[in-house]
Amino acid sequence: MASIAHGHGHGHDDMVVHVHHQFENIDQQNESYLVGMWCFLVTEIMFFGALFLMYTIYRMNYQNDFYGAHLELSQTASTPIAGPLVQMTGLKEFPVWGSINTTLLLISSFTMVMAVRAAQLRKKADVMKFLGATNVLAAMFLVIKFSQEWPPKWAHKMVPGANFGPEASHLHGASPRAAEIFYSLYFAMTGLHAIHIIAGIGVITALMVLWRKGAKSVTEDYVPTEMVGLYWHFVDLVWIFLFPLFYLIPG
Amino acid sequence: MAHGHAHGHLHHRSGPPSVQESTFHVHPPKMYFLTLVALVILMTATVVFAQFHFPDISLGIATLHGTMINNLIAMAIATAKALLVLNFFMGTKFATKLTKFWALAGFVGFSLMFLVYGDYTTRRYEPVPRWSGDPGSSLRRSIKESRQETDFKPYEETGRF
Amino acid sequence: MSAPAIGAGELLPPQEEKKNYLNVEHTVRSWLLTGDHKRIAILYLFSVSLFFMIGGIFASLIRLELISPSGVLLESETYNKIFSAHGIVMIFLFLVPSIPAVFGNFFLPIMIGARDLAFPRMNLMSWYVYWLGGLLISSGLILGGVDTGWTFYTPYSSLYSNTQVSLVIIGIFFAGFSSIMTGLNFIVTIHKMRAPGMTWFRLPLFVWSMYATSVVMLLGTPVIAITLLLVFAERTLHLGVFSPELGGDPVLFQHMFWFYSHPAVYIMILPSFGVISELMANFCRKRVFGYHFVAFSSLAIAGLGFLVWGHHMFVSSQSMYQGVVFSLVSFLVAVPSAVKVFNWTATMYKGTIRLQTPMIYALGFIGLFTVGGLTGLFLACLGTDVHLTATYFVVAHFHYVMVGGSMMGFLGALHYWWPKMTGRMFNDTFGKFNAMLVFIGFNLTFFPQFILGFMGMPRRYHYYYIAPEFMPYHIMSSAGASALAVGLIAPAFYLISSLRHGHKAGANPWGAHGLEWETSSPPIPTNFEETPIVTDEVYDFSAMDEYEHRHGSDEMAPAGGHN
Repeated sequence: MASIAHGHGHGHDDMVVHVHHQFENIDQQNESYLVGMWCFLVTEIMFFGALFLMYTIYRMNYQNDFYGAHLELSQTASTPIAGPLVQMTGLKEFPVWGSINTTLLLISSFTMVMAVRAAQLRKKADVMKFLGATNVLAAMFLVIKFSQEWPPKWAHKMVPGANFGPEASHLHGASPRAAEIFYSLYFAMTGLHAIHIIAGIGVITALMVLWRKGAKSVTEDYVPTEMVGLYWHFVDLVWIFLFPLFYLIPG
Repeated sequence: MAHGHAHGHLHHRSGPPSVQESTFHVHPPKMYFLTLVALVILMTATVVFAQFHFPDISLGIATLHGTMINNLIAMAIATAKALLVLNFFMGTKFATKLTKFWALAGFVGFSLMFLVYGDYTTRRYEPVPRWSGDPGSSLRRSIKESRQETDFKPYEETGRF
Repeated sequence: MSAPAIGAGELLPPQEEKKNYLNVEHTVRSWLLTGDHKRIAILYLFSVSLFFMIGGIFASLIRLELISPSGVLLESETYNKIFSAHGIVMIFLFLVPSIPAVFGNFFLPIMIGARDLAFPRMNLMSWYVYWLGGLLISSGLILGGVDTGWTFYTPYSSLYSNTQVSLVIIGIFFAGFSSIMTGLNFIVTIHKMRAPGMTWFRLPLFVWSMYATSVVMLLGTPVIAITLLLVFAERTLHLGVFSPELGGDPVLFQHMFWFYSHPAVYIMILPSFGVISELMANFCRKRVFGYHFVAFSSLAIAGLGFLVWGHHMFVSSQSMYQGVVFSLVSFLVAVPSAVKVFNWTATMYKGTIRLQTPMIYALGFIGLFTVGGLTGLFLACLGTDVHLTATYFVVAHFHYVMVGGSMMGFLGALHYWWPKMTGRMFNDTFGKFNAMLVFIGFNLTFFPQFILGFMGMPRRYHYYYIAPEFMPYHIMSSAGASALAVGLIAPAFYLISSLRHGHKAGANPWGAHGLEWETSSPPIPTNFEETPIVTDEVYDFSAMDEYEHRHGSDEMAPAGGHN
């Protein structure tokens, strides 16, 4: 059971903080929670790591085919917005949506860490502002992914399964079998990543609700916000590696 | 408004042992903003470098393929970005040794999996009659070599996958 | 108030029942929503025992089937489902959680002097997630089971099997998360919540092994989670990465699967090592020989255990050169285990050995684990493995280490800590007899299987009419299984009956050393009245005797228990 402690008045900083019964003091509690969160992130590293390993093995064996298949991720000529952009620059291998998504996630990482900082300073308005911005950026990421990136794959029959059967123009020289592996890995990894983003949006929303209600568990103790921040930065970290591996394959 | 390195305080119950205060550093926004700028610059760099096709460099016994150089650059930049996120956004630079230990342990554990490479790089296939001439998909080929096979031909024509 | 005289044979003056973790609240809600690590441990005890019995039923069916050479009891399909069910239930629902979730949960905080684990609510959640996994697996088994074996090799499991693979896989996924939560909790607790004076090298060896186990759980379990998730995706979404039709490599599944499943066997045995260290120290009344070596060997096993998974894949078309590397490291990983066995044996030298029930289990462990470990070397050696792999030799090997090792550790721990957990002492004579029965039954069951495997009896076959010379060995094995079954079910009876009829136990009925023996039996909800300050070195029996000699002990049980 949590015990709510009252501190002595130190200027205007008269705060109350939950120290749970199993802990001796707030430092022990804070560090335990943070180390615990890091241990959880370790499991996530291993979780995604296995997928990265599988990806690298298949890429090593099908280098040429992966190069060809990945060009489709850059070839956005068929989509109304990015197509003209790509044609303007003349860069066949410039991943428009991938780059935009990466930038969005990097900025969301920034807004998240600013939210944590605001939590440390107990500035509720700033926290809400930054958490909200993080959510918006994450939502934009998902919107781009689920409207600009994934649907064209389905339309061009590039989703693995019974419906797989792309034309040669979408394969760019890759063999269909290797392309199917590429897309299986692509959907598995970006899909798992997207699930983590959706979960992250959920958690950040829950955090925002708690802040809005003024719940002491988050307003007086910055650690819950920091823990959510760590999770969010991890999600960004995964994307930092996914981006070059899927979108920037050299040929 | 926060100024420079502010300190936050948390109070707790005054039970045994003595009353302690927790202090933690609040970092200036400038640090975070500069980190973001560095990240975006690195991202741009990685996209730019990916447009170059490096030539193969022959080193006597082996050749350093151009694509390998691309890979190295891309992974180096990704690692640099990761280190920025880890150290500044996630705060590992300022964290306790225990936190740093577990952050590192995750990546060490991840690297253990790469022992699997030992299998895939040292496999040798027995020659199979119908497949003679095919070196086996598990051996590395240079992109250039495999580019010499022009377009994809269906299995029925070539007898190969 | 006059103090009543202490009756002969009674260890404690009759008094009002003190508030302990069992009777502090009686409602169902207080049990199902508890944060108390001790109550969660008891909840786990019931759960793992239940799943153990279920797995045991499957084992009985297997042994019944194998009495006859032509497999008259079950059809091939059904037999496939039965041995798969046996493996899945025993490994994921019994062996992996058993000692950590029951005894780790109960005793880890007490042994380090803490009031609870670091994250009590996550502890409770791990139990619920365990049940979610258990229910999903059970429904999968009821709805037809899986016939892929507990190893789920692709592409059979991902493309061709028509059984409940998806459902069972999701169940295993959740069971894995339960163990991740437990491991995470333990790691943070051991790092951050040791009492003042409890330095790393004053920790009981059980704590060291819990730490090593938790590291393995944390690093290994996510890999099998994602691997099984990919098999699930392959089955449902046809997202193939393991199918040759799509250019994938089924051996990659095996790599990923065994990357967890080999460390998993260390998850299953390391806690047992910790228990045996405790039993050896306390029933020889002597500090474990080479304490530092034993502590570090736990970490070495945890680390090296991640580098040997390929020895399950020697004949899978894995590269031969890689096989050599794995074979070498497998031999290396045997060394820390051997260090432990030598050190335990050396602990007995010039110790005051008391042959009570837990010690019988510990001695049985040493014998059986040694046999299991040595036969593992035959399998680690590439050449002999080609002959022995996928035969009953492997089955016998892993049952020696899993049942003869891990299970004996579980039973030893159960008997050793029973008086502490329940406040009642069981009948030691029953216990000793039962331990011998388990030992004899176990050997009769599994030793003939070594011979069978060497002679060529394959694993997972339910008929062997083409080789009727195997029959006597199978009959011996099944006869032993009957004895073993009795020995494994009997503790349920005499232990539960001790709750009502057993003598009340004092704080330290075994005269053992450790913080857990300095609290009441059963412990109070916060474990200690005041946070202890540790000044003793670990297993310092001489200091303990000295203290009791000076201060007199109020509840020092005679060495023979209450007999």
